Amino acid sequence: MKKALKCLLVASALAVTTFGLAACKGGKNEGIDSRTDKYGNTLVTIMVHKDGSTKEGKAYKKCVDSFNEYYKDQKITAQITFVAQTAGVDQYESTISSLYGAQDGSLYDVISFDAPKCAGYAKSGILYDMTAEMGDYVNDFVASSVNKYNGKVYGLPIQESSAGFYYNKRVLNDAGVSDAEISNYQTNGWTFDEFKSVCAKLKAKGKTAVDFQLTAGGETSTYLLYPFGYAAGGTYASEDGKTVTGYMDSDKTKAGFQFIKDCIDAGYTGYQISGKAFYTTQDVGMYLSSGWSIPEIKESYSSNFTGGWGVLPYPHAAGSTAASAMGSWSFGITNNGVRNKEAAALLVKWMTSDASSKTITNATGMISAKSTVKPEYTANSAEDVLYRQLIQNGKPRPAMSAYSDFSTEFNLIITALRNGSVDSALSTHTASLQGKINRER
Amino acid sequence: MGLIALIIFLVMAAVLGVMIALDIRKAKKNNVKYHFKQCVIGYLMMAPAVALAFIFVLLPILFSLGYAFTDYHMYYPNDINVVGFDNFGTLFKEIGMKGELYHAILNTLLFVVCVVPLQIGLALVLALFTNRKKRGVKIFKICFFAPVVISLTVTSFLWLQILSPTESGLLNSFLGMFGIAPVDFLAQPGTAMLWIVLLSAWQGCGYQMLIFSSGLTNIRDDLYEAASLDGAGWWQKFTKITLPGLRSTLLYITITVFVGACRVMIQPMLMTGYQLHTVTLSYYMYQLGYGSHLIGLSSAVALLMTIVIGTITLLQRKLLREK
Amino acid sequence: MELSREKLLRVKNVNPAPLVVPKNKKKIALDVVWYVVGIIVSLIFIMPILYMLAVSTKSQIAADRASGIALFLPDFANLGTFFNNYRKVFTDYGIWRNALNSIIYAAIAIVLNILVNGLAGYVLSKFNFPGKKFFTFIVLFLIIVPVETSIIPLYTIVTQLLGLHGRMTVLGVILPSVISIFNIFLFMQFFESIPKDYEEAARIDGAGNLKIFFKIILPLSKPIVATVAVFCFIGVWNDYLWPMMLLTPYPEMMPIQAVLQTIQNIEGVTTGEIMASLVVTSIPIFIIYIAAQKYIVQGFGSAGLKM
Repeated sequence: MKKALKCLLVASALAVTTFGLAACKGGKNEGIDSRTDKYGNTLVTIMVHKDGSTKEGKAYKKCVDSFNEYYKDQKITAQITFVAQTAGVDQYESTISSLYGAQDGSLYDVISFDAPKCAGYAKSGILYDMTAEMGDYVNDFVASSVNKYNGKVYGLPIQESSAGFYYNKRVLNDAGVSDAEISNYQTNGWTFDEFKSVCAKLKAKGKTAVDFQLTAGGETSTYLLYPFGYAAGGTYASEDGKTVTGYMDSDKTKAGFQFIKDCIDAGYTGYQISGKAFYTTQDVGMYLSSGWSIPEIKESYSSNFTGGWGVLPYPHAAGSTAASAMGSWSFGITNNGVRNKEAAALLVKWMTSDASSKTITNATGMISAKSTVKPEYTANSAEDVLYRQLIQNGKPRPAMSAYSDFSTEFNLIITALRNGSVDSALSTHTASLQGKINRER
Repeated sequence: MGLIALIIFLVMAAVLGVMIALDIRKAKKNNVKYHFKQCVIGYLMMAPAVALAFIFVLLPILFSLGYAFTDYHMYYPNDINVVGFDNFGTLFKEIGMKGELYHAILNTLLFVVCVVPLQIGLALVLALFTNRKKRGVKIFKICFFAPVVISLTVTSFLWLQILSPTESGLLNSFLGMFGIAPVDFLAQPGTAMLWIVLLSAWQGCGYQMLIFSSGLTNIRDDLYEAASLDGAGWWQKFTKITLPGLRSTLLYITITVFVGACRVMIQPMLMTGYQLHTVTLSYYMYQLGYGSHLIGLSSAVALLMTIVIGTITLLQRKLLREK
Repeated sequence: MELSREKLLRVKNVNPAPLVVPKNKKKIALDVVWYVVGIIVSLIFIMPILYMLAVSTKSQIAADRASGIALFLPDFANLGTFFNNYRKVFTDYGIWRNALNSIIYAAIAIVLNILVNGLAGYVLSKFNFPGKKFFTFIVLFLIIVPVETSIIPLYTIVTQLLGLHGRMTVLGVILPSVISIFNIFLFMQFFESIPKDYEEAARIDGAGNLKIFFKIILPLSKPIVATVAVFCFIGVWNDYLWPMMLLTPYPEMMPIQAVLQTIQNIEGVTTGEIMASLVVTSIPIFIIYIAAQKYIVQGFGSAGLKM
């Protein structure tokens, strides 16, 4: 009898919990008009995704300091918080969403976010629609860089990025790839077949032709490899991001993955290439990597490239337009319960100004996202190849609110390519992704 | 949320009140007396533990239970709706379609079935091995125990370097000496999990070895001597004296190793990332919550895991007790 | 098979001397085998650790080029760069700051842990009060439920219910380590084995309950207190997931395991530096295990048997 009573009471406690949760839908705060610090200045808070001791973190601090200097007379101050991304975006995101729930200004006014996340944040209301505040300012940016959702502006890029095939000049020359040929590809682009023939020459000399970083995992793999779907003339999702069946498993997209699979099968690349092999040995001909490798090679590994090095653009399918990777982090304003968005808008404009853009890209080695900043690079230098690629054929990652699921499935496809066919990998995982999109709100 | 916590607290207080009333009535019947002052002091001394346990242990568990029946999405913290058993329906459908959950269950099953006997067996063997009063025993014990010192995180990173799929990886350079091409140990669907089993057993068995060691010291030596006189061989000694003597230790160890094995997450997370051939239940649950932002669904997985693990644990207790 | 005390007593009176001589040779052979097997297995067990130590002294290029037995040997060839990785890890990556955090958190957690759980265990084992069954039932129930499944609601509770922000978030990391149902259980079991006489004698002398706890029970429980302290330290030191989730905005307050991942992700980090950070993380635990070995074994002995 006692035990039964106990169980009954515990069970009813659980029932109360569940229904109570349902009842607890509201509880929203009234919000505040604006925030002031103890000196009476309007306070606008900003959160960035890098640690304050890194070069990039310091660059952000510098920009915020100059903002405070400029707006001192107008009594506006900005306060920066560094929420370093550790294991992926997970903890950074849970910080954002848990603070967002409070709706009392505890979520920072301005946040940095990874561009592909825009759709999810915009749809759920975390990001504030700043189309009105930004107006014509958006025209100062590389067009496809501005973060839009349903035609409205939700984010402006901090910087842009590109990726390409770094090559070891001596290794390529020794394999019979002439400088003229390399120049040609850098200026005019190259097709999948031309790429493969270069690989064949490298393989004939016993080298690992190319390292696609197939085992990088996480967003890196997705970032480096997604352009191939576009470069083959395919696409990943519908305009509204809600359908992937029929898009991601279309024939042209498959052709893009087939290109990668062909390289694997022919032995041009593999899953067992040492991460640093391109930097420390003469065994690897080409290395697919982002713009970050430029400062890395210059600072630590130039001794390995006595014959020189450079960057080649993404190849594309014959008959299709080229496509390359792009996208980095952006700044956006949040719906955090603070009603007056003036100061936040000013801060966003400041942090994405030409001056800030130059400060930040100097620290990170990435490309400025402003079309008003026109850098002068030596023709066909690494920076030049990446910059032209970005302007001419950079294509952002597919916009969908379930983006992290897309990235997970993309990684699973890359693993599946190892032992399976492109067809089965793409059909299975497109179906799986569609299922995940369907279960979203 | 505060409201829910308050309700839960009141319900628990009510249950406690009922229990107290029942106990007092029973005491009156049996003419046992409770010292009032003692009881008050007792409750006061327990108060910090009760408060902390309520906030940090009980509440999260109950909330997790509650979320399992909602559609809580991380980006919509103020828009939580009760959906009853829908989450479970989604989960079972995914198992049916051989989705990630299906693989997670299989991998976790494989891991548990392999690691529990391996780790316990290894620990027992090592404990018996070092159960001698010889000069080098202490050094051996330290060596066997050394892997425990390294946390699971560090172990994962370390073994990631050891199992590196390139020629410079430790294991591969060893194989290279025999002319075998570098093997990607963590990429083979069948064997990846087995390597994780191996390194987990390596890391953990020293711990259980210590427990067995102290359990062994509690078995009286004269039992063994008497057995020798009766002409018992080492196997008989083992099964008739050692094992029964270690019964309660064995029960404790089996339960803890089993429960720990079911919750494996760090190793696959840090070593292979989210892959179908190494994803485990805990990792799947974590990914649902932090990757796909579906906390409701994630909690449903948690609830199922709790029920299954709890049931098996209770069964184990019953079985091992009755023996 | 008869295992009687009488038989044993009979045997002990027999002079074993004539049996010693032939037994010696067999015994020596067995001993040798025992030693050899022991050494081989020990080597297998500590090989990865030796590897870790060795690589931690090498630069990236040296690490990639090593092969054969050199894999396990520290980089004696380049004594100048021997401790480079450690230097970098300590200065550039500031691992000492996180180690200090871990030590502070652990110290606070240990003291509170023993107090809170010890008192609870004491009350549950020694006192008789109405409603006692309620608490013992909950203790048993909570041991079975896996705690990791509740990590997400725990996060919401700490940030929203308790509203811990800024520096106070650190409480959210320490407090959950203070309460341990398992430790309450351990204390319960151990205290039950302390005879009532000590308590009663103290009561007759007029000591209050708290005094009894601190002056009598705790001193008698040195093994279990040491065990709890050691494992609490190890638990806090090795805690990775939870501090990382909570303290991401405040990297300077992160304990050491969480920062391991940060180091892994720093652009341009070398294998040697990763290994160096791993070694630094493991050293304190190693020291504690060796120093407190006796207590750990004792603590296990009394706990494991009573289940």
